[in-house]
Amino acid sequence: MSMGRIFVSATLRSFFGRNASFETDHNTIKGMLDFLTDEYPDSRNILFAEDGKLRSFIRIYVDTEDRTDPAKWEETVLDSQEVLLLPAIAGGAPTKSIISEDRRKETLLSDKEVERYEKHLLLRQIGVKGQKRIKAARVVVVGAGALGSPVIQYLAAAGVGNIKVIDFDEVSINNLQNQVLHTSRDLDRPKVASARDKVRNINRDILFEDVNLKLEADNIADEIDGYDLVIDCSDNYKARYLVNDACVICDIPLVFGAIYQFEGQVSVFHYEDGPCYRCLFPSPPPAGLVPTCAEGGSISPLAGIIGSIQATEALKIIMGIGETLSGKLLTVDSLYLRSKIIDVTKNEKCPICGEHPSISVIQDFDYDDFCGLKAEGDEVEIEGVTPEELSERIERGDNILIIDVREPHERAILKFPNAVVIPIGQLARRMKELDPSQDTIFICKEGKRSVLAITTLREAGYKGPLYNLKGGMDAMRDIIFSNEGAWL
Amino acid sequence: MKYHGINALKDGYKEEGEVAMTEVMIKQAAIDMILSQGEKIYPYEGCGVLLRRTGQETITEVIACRNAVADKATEHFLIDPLELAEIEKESIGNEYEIAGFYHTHPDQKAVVSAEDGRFMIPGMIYAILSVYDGHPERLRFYRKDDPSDKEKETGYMGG
Ligand SMILES: [Zn+2]
Repeated sequence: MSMGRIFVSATLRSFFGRNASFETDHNTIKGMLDFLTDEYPDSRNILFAEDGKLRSFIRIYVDTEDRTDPAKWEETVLDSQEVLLLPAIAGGAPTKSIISEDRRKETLLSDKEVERYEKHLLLRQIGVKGQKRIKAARVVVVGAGALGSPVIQYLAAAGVGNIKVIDFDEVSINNLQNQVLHTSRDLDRPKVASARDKVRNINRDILFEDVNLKLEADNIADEIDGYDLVIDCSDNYKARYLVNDACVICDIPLVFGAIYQFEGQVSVFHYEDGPCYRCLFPSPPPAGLVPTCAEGGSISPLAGIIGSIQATEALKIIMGIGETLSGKLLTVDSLYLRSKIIDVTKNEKCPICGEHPSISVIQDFDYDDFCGLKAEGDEVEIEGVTPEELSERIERGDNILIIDVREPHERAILKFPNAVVIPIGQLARRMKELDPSQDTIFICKEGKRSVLAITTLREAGYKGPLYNLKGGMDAMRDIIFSNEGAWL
Repeated sequence: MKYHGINALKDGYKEEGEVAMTEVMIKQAAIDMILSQGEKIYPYEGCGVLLRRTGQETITEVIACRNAVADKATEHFLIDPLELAEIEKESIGNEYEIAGFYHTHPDQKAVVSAEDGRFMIPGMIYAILSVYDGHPERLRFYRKDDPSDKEKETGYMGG
């Protein structure tokens, strides 16, 4: 009877009962592998990938001949021969800089630049090569607000050769609390114009492109295509999904950052086969539930912390050094000073970067539709009142109930007298505080969360008359102040 | 409904945690050998085997191996499987066992490349040393428990 001898490398023995060798009555590699995986079922997952292919790190030899190729597994192994199950210990260099070697070599540093960037040149990981990559880089910054302020200034100071900043907004007084790019002299100016001045003051040699534009599905690709990197410094979900989708479709890595109250997040998307924003959050939160950043507010220096981390990630990606936040989400809680890194895995079912993407062109999603506020079929009609109608009813002394669903910090800025405060999360539970025979009017800051509040109550089965204050407190502001006497 | 913040992430996503777990114990002499090999072989990739006394935790020795990649040895490495089998049979014997492997990344960061990841044997320790301009930058240790998992960095303690 023939005897097939198998030697197992010590590095693989733990998957085969710690045995160094086996004797079998099989005389082909195929037969021997079947024998081993029958005997040790867990070893099947070690030897073979999900697609049935032998794993990269497994090598099969017969004496000194490499027979790893499955085409050779049916060949007869002689009694005098030994089959060796060995590991291939191998690897390769990680992804390099996103700036090609050719572009780096084309880029020259002047004497003045060597002096200016001395502190970069002193670092081994950067050096002349890294500084040339920074100079060759073409970067788009979406948003010249809170996060854009540190990002734009640090990219300029670091020597990024081409910076494009896109923003449609103008500088207003309440921007100055955390948008340190702008000063009181910039009030009412386009933010991108203000950004241009600041960058010019830092370094006149930078090619700076200011784009005073609201990004939409039909213009974003033209703005970012051909650039090396995009940094998302926007302050709303609509822009985040738009920027993410455009980066995946244009195949550009994305550095993401967001701030909300005391908490910040940073990640890197669509880089080195890593996940995208939609892998992490396939769909946005309901429109009214989470206030936009502009609505929510945040502590002044938080944007500096988060934006500075974004700028650092951008430079690391440009130079191909260190470890980035690709596949990870950094969260920073500045109030209790805690930070953590959460794993983000690429989602095979991701609608845009997954195996069978359902999104292949950039589109503006209908936010209300996306968030179920306009549910199909059983569409809930929501009646609204204008600020004028509401103030008339109040002055007339109508029997109405006003429910304020805003957050405490929002109410602190602008109180709505006589309103009952019920957070959205408690509405269903506190439904009995409402009187179905009475008109109930919901108010929030922009008139969106109040819609959600009404939808929530309807779903909970509330039958009484419910009204939404159109445009929220923002629209009510002037009226309240001019009629304040009527309230007191 | 998912709030896009830390609290929502708690239930939906696995926390990676910091690299606080000190899983690898290694003698300083062994670290020094890896560093000096990385320096000497620069700008090529160096590689070798991490050894510990059988049944013990601490890595005490390393054996430098030949990089079997003939061309492009600045970006790839391979330990010849037969040479490794030879080392196992001849040099190591029963007194020592293989704890894992190390290799260097000349002018490249000390992270696991996609190719590195595909070749990682579950349970083994993999050390990567980045060497910039001929100077060692960072030595980091990784392992994976299942071949399909992503590798995890593990802390280490020299001594
Ligand atoms: Zn995705």
